Amino acid sequence: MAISFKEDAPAARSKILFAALIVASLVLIAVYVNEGSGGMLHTMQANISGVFTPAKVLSGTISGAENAASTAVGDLTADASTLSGLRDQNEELRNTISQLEEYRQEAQRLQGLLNLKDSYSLDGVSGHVMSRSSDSWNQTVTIDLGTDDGVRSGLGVMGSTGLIGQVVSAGTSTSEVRLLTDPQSGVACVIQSSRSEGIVRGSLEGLLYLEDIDDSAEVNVGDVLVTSGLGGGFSEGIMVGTVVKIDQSNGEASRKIVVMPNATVDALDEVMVITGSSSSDSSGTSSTSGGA
Amino acid sequence: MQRTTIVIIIGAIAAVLLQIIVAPNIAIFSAMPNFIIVYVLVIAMIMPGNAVYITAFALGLLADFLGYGPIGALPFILLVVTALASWAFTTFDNDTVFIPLGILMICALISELVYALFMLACGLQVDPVGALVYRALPCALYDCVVGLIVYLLMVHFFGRTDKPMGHAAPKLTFR
Repeated sequence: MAISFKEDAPAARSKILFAALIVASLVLIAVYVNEGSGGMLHTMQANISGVFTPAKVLSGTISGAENAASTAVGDLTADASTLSGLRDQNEELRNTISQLEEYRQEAQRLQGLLNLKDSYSLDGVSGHVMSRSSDSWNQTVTIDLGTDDGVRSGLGVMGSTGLIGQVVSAGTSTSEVRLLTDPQSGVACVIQSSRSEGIVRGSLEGLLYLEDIDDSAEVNVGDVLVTSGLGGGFSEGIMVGTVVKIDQSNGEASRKIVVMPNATVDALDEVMVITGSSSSDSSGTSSTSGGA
Repeated sequence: MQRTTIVIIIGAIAAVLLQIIVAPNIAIFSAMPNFIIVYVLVIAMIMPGNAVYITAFALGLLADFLGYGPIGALPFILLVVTALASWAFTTFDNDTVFIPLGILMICALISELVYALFMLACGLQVDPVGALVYRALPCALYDCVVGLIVYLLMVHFFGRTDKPMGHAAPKLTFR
């Protein structure tokens, strides 16, 4: 009497299916890596997020509600000392605004006298943040502006107080914006006071670092960074952030310079995609240059 | 269509919607759970079958298209951990939550670590230790917590099917 063993047919089919799907995955990886940024898979990846726009709108609504609830709880639990501090801060800010208005008017008069062009007027289109990225490895947001609104890949995006990121893909009515805090972001900047140039990059821990700056350049806590306009990525003069910490080990020439971004973004916040810069001279004539 | 297949499809749609709608809003210092990894691991343990392989491939592909990582990476990872989870559950299950939790922890960690390697290999300019500490480990931990909840819910509502996946079942014939 002989005994033979046979594999169960369903188990064999299961193994074949598994192997086929593994091979398909590896083929897709190989195609994606080799095709370049303009390939079919890359194009599909850039465009497919628009299909889930309603879900992203819902996500942004939930996020907005969370922020509002958090703010309400904070306001309700504010004590007398907090309110008193806020009143003092308010008064101080009023005085500062008044002083700055004086400086602005003086600067305008000087510009007129020297026949300088005001090159920091920016053209753009406004929209809102719909949602944040749904994966941990990318710090991106989806905005409700697309190619129909004149948005294209590579344009800078500003929040209410400064630069927040750059458009990485644009659909017809939505776009994906990579934030400054994303590890893959980089912005050419200058320190406003010393005009030293460097690059502000994001990181996994969510901080911004000023890198590629000359070791001999003077950098101090409190220095303001603005875009330099170099590389064509962003218009010059856009507020980026402030130096908050400088780490330098004894004997090491290089420094780790931490920058706090001037603008942050939450769901439903208003943003502006910079489409160009318009300059007007003292005689009132204007000219427009395209953005990056 | 079998009831199990219908349940798997509905669960897959729910996992994708949860990932898009809920995950960004429950992120802690940019670490968020991956409902797709969690769901695939759970159904690999409680509903083994060919449909799980197909679901793992399809969901992984969709997740790759929604992100910016290499297309094909997550399907590959999910297929491997699905087979691993199914085998481990079949071999070691003792009707307690500790074995599923252990399998979830190990498979979630493998998934996040291997995905981190794929991202680094495809040009992500970050410190590998930073990628482990700030992304892979926190996300794997978050996946475990969410996975345990999903596992308990699915076992409660749908039970388990005990058909092992990927094993050759020897059939004796006498001649």
